[in-house]
Amino acid sequence: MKKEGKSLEERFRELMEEAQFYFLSKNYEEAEKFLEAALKIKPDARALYTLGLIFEMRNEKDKAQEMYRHSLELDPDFKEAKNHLAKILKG
Amino acid sequence: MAKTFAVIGLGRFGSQIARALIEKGFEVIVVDRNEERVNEFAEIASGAFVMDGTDEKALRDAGIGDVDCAILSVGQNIESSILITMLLKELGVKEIIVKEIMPIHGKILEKLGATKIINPEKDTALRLASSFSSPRIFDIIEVSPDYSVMEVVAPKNFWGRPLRDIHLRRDYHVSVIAIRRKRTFFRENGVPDFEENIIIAPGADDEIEENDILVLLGKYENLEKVSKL
Repeated sequence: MKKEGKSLEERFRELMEEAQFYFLSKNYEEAEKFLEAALKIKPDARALYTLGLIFEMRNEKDKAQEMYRHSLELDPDFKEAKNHLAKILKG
Repeated sequence: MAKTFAVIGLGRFGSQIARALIEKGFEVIVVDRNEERVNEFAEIASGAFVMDGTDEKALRDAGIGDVDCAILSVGQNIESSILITMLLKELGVKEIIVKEIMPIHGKILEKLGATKIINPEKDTALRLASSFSSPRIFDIIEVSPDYSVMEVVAPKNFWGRPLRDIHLRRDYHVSVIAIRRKRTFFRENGVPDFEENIIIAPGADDEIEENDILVLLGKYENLEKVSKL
């Protein structure tokens, strides 16, 4: 069991790395796929936040807001998520 | 002497008006109850005050009585809006422009001496209708009865192609006057983020990237076609 847990953790890290690579290369659709795959393994504040960024860039504000809120539920001190959520709520 | 302004209420509408006036080089005094909103203007406005606009003494002390024009937009608070309009009139402000909250409110304001009632919500019904019908549209500004400027997320089939390849002018009689582009980066703490840059008057060789926002000028019906691509 322990071994399986570790490999899932590794897989999660790999998916997040891929997602961040695509995010930085401005290939947001790909980044989104990897983030969603990572989130299937476990909920994660940063993955949710990064999805929020992608939705925000596409003007999908409701979805972005939801992601930032989820992210803050997992990590209430996540400064960047707070800032982006505030920005959206301000309109 | 250049006209001087006071903007009371720094919500989205008020702060945009204040910013636009400051950019045009006018002297602007801003007032809001929210310190954070006022602080955004601390360095650019000729006066930035955290206070309640219904406080007559505070209004006077802030020099609001000396401005040529006061623009009032206090969110959904009809009572404050009416009260402040009255105070502005008493302070001798010649031009009072108030954002209307509902039609009856506008009528009261007129009676109280507001010189102009504006209803951006109504005025921009077209903009709202469009943005509801397509989340890809960020904004539409009417520049004349025929022409508008529309901000729209670049359609997917434009991605990776230079402007010369997509023939917006030839096929849709629409010009790309600017591109709002996201730059993604990692913060020092490793958290990803993005910021936006604007490319003014992009050239034919400029390539469109995923999630670019195109700022387009053209007739409304043509802009709408592009927004549906």
